[in-house]
Parts: sequence; structure tokens; C-alpha cells
Amino acid sequence: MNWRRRRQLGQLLRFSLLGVVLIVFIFPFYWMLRTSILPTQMIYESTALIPQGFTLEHYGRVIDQGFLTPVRNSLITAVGTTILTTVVSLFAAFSILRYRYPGRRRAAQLVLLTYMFPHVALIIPMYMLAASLGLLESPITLIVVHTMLALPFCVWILQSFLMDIPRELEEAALVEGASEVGAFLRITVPQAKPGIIAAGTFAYIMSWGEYMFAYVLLTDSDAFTVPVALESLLSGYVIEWGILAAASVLATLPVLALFWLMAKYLGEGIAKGTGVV
Amino acid sequence: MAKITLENLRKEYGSLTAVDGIDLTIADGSYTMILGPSGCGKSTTLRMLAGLEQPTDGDVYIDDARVTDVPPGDRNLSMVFQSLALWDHKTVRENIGFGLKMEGVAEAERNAAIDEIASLLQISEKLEQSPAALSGGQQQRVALGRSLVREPDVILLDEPLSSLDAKLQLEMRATLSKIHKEIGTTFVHVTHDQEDAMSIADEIILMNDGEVVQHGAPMELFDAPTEEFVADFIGTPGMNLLDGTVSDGAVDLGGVALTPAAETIAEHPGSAVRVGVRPNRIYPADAAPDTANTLAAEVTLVETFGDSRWYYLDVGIGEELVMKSADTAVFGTLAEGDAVSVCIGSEDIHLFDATSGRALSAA
Amino acid sequence: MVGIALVAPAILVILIALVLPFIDAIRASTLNRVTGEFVGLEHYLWLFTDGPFWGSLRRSLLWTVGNLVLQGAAGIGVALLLQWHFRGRDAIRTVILLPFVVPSAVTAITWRWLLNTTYGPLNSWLVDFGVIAGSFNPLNDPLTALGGVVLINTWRWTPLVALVVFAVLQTIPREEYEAARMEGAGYLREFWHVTYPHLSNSLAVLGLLGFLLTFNIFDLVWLLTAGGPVDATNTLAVLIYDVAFAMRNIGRGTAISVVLFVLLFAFVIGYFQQEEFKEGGQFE
Repeated sequence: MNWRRRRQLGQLLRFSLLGVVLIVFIFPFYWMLRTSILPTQMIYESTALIPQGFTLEHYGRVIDQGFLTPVRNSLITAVGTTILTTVVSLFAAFSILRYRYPGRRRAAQLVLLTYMFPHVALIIPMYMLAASLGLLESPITLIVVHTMLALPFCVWILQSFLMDIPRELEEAALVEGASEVGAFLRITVPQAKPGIIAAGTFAYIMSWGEYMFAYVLLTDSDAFTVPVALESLLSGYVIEWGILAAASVLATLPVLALFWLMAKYLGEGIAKGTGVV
Repeated sequence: MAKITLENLRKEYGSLTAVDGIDLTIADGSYTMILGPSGCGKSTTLRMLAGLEQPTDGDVYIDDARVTDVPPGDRNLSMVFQSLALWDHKTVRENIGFGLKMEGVAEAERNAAIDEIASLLQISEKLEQSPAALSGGQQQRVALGRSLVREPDVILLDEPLSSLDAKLQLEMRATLSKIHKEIGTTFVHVTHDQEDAMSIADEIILMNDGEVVQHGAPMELFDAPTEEFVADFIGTPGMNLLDGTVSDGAVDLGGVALTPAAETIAEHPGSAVRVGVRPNRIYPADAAPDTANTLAAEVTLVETFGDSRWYYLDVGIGEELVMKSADTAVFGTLAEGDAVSVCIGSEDIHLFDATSGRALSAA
Repeated sequence: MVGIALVAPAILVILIALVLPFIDAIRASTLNRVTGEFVGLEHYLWLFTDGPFWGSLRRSLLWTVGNLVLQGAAGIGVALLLQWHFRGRDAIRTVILLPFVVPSAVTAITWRWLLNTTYGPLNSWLVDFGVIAGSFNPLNDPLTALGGVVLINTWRWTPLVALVVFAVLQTIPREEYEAARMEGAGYLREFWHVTYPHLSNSLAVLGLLGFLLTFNIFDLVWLLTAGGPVDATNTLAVLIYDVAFAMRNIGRGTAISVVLFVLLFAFVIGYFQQEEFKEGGQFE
């Protein structure tokens, strides 16, 4: 049957292409992983796909060199950013959708404005501001900056999730005697859970990987976050790729923890935001 | 149990007037339905009653206490929403018990009350599930349960039956009726479906364009409509309405004359009127031979609804009359194309002013 | 009112982290970096006449458009491959997000290692298979550097685009495809008549957001090539950093920033006036 053969060929093509796509996306990381467990000698000699040797010395040295400190710093910053961003953007999205007050439109536009901004323009003024407040090495500065960076996106996502929650659900709670705050906490928030997760994971991943502001605002190497620490490894005279690979793997692990959540909720979150889903 | 008074209640949205200053009293313990076409203001009125909308003007009184400024949660009423507004992140039990929880009732007491209501509504086995896992009819009963368990003064319903299929609708009407008889709380139910109203309500408030058109018992609206709008809206099918002119003690429909009860046309010689006859008040001549109005008709269409039939009759005036009957013994053999003589009792002829729509009647 | 209280924290954050520093930046753009005295529009003048502005602008545009086109095509392509259900699809859908979730610093390191002329696998395999004559790192060649970073950035963002397009595809009613199939449509026709119309709205919004976001990207470019070689990848964002930070000329750097902001702002206004924007809820 011509029709059936065509289907089969189609499927074959489809899965082949998918295979190629998978390789393209995953291979680089596989290579880094492989490099990180290869003895130094072999790193520079072999380009075999399957690692011919195994060692954990690179990881050992990376940790000895104090790499866990930036990891801890990044974790603090990322978690702080996630919490702050999620709460602030949830409030803002809810406010814009459910209330009417003068300046509401302006507020919504201001949030969007943040998005189109060349943030690179802010690094020096931000540095000077933080310096004058004595907050240069504190994670607070970076948390606030990261929140600013994540806000427009998170407000946008949450707005579209909140829009899907029928007002009647909240009204029913009001009629049953809940206060406005009560209705918000008991009804709106649980209903908006997917949106909150989408926004939260975005904030976390963005904060973890943010390099520019972190580089400028953290000058003391004890306060470095992971991207900054990685870059400092890169800019030495001699680049030790084994260590770099191990550090890269370590840098990625905390992000992978939320990976699955992100895949599940973020795509849908953005699609909702474009007003379609 | 409470009576409700609405005083000069008005709601405007910008330049749009949704509710135009209405005055109403809803009797304590009655099942009152607010009926009307889309956009007539019935839902808005209900929501102002609930406290979910603030009136632009006027007041709401529950049992003579002014509640216009009282938040919805403090008015001791409950509401069943059109979409049911069940929270699917909570269990059925938590849905029903939410209001009690907000009142601070202890868990044991709450659960007792919930269990009682659930068994009354036959949803006891579903208590620990999410409403999302239930069928449409079961979800309806959960929403009903939530509204009953707090024993409020008034129960509001906003088109709760609109999204149900026909069979479920009939079941729910019976359920609502039964519950009302058992607990006797004041029910205020908004609907656009006049069949709902005719079957359940003690009192109907018919609204159109933000105003109350007629307020009374269902049969009052059916038999004595005060306006053409009422006559047309109520009844399945609605009243037959035709154009006519009053002349010589009868009404001329354009070649065919009908003689209504003498008092009805006494004071309106020469007026252009709208003539109304209920479909179920038209009979074949041999079934009720002693009436003043007999017309020759030809059956153009028969619609069968199981046990009742609608006959479309051509009586020679351009527009068709619909005759309705459930009595197949009398009408059994009438088919399309048949000629038949039909009569209409003079007291069954309603007249309405052609311009204002108001019913013309004895002074 | 409650509404104002709820939106206040967001506004506060933006004021502190964005508006305030930016106003300061505008102020700085009118000062001489060394002496701190007011020099008016001198920096702006330098920017437009003497400076590297135009070259960087050109590169930024190439960078942005290149990224958008490639990411769009690849993203839609991948989403289409995932469109119809198969076993393991959810797992694959999760895994392909990898390039996006990983910190850009790691991405930069990874690709620099992969493209390494001496030790990197890509070069060694391509040479071994006779595909290219000699080892070659596109990032080191002024002619190919911009293309190289565009490709790497595309690699990074395509998964996200694919995921979003995928979510949109899920909302297309299956019946529309079935109807098309009954009318004899093949795969391409199905795409053109069913899939594309449903996608186009989202694509417009994504396009705008993508443009703004991509235009301003700094970290990946900097970490890969630091603007080189020989300015080949010196986009506006990189230029600003270079001038303001590396060369320590705050005045000029902030002047470029102000101009960049005005440009993007004008672009967005123009976009909205032209585009009949659906009620996306943002400006409600």
C-alpha cells in the first residue's frame, strides 16, 4: 500500500531527524562530562567518543580550589531571587488583573519596559549605587538585580495563568465568608500553581546563569557566583581543560535539579503568554 | 429565612444602564425566579443582592436590615454560580465545608454537617475526591451542598441549570423543588429559561431591559400577562400574537374577525392592537362547539413531541397560528393538509396596545 | 487600595534596580570621565561621527536578525517533529531543554573546547573524515566569528522556542487536520493551511520579545570572543561594556547605552502602532 509505505518512510525520517536533534543538543554536554573524568594526559591526546580512562582527580582539584564556595553563593542568590521574584510578580500580576486604580496601565507598561532595556547600560551605575550603600559583596544586591531582570517575564507568565482562573472561583469564596486575602491565598494561589512553578523555575535558572552583573558587582573572590568563578578559570594564562570541564559539570548540577519542572511548565507558560493557549 | 427588599436599585456601567432603578420585595420562604432574556439585568440584580457588585444607586435590604455596604461573606446568604465555581484543588468535602470553616466551626461539627448534606444529596461516596472527577450532575449537587450546609437566610442561584443536558435539567428542577419544600429557605434563582420558571417557581419576576415587567405567580403571568412581552416570553410555545384593528365590537385581523370578551374592547374603538391567543386555547370546532369564534383553517405543519403536538394553521391572514394539544383522542387524526374548523373562546383572546405593548383590559 | 499595595513591590524593585541607575547613567553620559565636569553632548557627538557606533549597530542587527530567523526555523522544525505523540516524547521534550538551562558560562566553555583547533573533537573528526582541509575555529576568524556566535546562541535558545511552539501546536484542534486530510492535503499543505495560521499570532509576539531580548545579549558573546577577533563580534552590547568598563570611559559607554535604549524604545512604539495587537492582557 503506497499510503502505508509513505507513513513508514515518514516515521523513519521523523525519528532520524529527532535523533540528529538530540545528538546536536546533548553531545556538547556529553563531551564535557567525558572530559571531566578523563585523566589529563588523555584529554589532550585522545578524541575518542568513549572515554578510555577514568579519574576523579579533576573534581578533587576543583573542590580543593574552593569551587564549592561559588556554588554556595550561587545557590543563595538563586533561591533568594526565586522567592522574591515569584512573590513580587504574583502580587503584581494579580494586582494588574483584578483591581482597578489610577496608574494601573502605567505600572503594567513599566514592567514591560524593563524587558526592552539594554541592561549592560546599568552595570556601572549599579556598581556605584551598591558601593555607596556598602552592599557590594552582599548577595542582596544581586538578588534585587536578578529580580529586576526576571520580573517582566515572570509577571507576563503569571498574568496569563491568572487570566485563566475564573473570577467566580474567588467570588464563591467571598460569598462563603472568606476575606479578600483569604480568597487569594486559599483559592487563587493554588489554582495558579503551574504558573507559579513556571515563573519560579525561570527565575532560578536565570539567576544561576547570570554573568554580567555578577561579574561587575562581586569583586571579592569569596563572594563570586558560579559563572564568575568559571570565567576566572578561563582567563588564566594556561587553561586547564580538565578542571574546567569538572567545574562546568558541577556548575550545571544544581540547575538540572529543576530541569524537569521547567520543561513541564515553562513552555506552556510562555505559550499562554502569547495569548494563545 | 428572610425576606428581601430592593429599593430603587440601579446599576450603570459607564453609559450603559444594566438595572434601571427597580423596586422589589421577595417574600420570605418563597422560591422566586428572576426570569428574562440575555442582557435584561437579572444576573446583575442577583449579584448586587449577593454583594459582588456595588449598586450605582439604591439599597438592598435583607429582613429590613440595610446590607448595601455589607461584604458578601457577612450577608448570611449562599450562591450557586453558573459555572458552579467548584475548587478542584480541594476535595468535595472541603468544597462543601469551606463556608463553615470560614465561620470557625469546629472540624467535628463541620464534618457532621457535611456528611448529612452529602447523604441528602446522594454524593456521600464522592466526598474525598476532587470535583473534577465527578459527573456534571454530581458537581451540581456538590455546589448545591455547599450552598445548603451553612443554612443561610437566602440561597441565590445564577443560571445553575443552563449548561446541563435536557434530562439532567429536569432532574435538577425536581431536586431544587424538593429541597425548597423541605427546608423552606428563601430561594432567588435567575434563569433565561421560562420552562424552569414555570415549573419550579412560587413567584416569577420577569425583567427586560433593566426593568421589572411583571411580578407574580407563574399562572398569573401565563393567563394574565400585563404586556405583550410577557405573553410572548412565557409558554412553550409562546402566545400567538397577530396584528389587528378594533372595529364594531370585534377585532379585524385582515379578513378574519375575532370577538373578544366585550369588556376588553369596550373602550378602544378603532385602535390598532396586537391580538394574543394561547396555543393550548385553540380547539377543533367539534370538541368545543359553543364558542363565538370559529375559523376555517388548514394544517400546514404538525410537530410531534411524543405526547403533545403543535399544529401550524393557515387561517387566511398571512401569519400562521399555532395550536397545541396533548389530547390525541381529540386531535389524533389531524394531519398536514387537512382542513379543520377551530374555535377560540372569547375570554381567551388577549389584546395588547400595538404601540406600548400594555395589555388592554376592563377599566 | 489593595491593588496599589500589591503592585508596589514590583515597581519598587524596578525603580531601584533600573530607573535610578539609568537616570544616573544619563547623567554620567554628559560628564567627562576623568574630571567629572559637564561636557554636554560631546560623547554623543563622538559616538555618531568618530566612534564605532555604526559598525556595532550593523553587527547588532545582523546578530539579532540572524538569531531570530535561525531560532525560529529550527524551533518550529523541532516542535513539528514532536507534534504527534510517540512513546518517550515527554522524556525527549524534557531533555532537549538542556542547552537552555545551562549557565551561559558553561555553554561558552563547552563550545570553546569543542571548537578548539588542537584538542577539540570537531576539528579532529572533520579533518580525519576529510571534510575540511585543516583545523579551523570559526570563533578565531574575523570573517566567520559573528556567524559562529550566532549559531552557538541559536543552539542555546532553539529548545525554548521549540517548547513554546510545541505548546501552541497542542492547542490546534485535531479536527482541523482531519478535515484537511479528508480534502486530500499532504503534509506540506497541512502545515500551510492549518498549522501556520494558528502559529502566526504567537510568532508575532515571540518575535518582538525575541528581538528585544536578543539585541541586548552580552554574556555569551563576551565569553566566547570578547568582541573579537578584530571587532568582528563587537555588537552594541559588547561595545558598551568594552568602552565603559574595559576602557573605563564611563561617559562614552553610558552615551551609547542611552542611544541604544532610545532606539529600542522607538522600535517598540513603531511595532505597536503597526501591529494590530491582540488583547494579550499586558496593557489591560
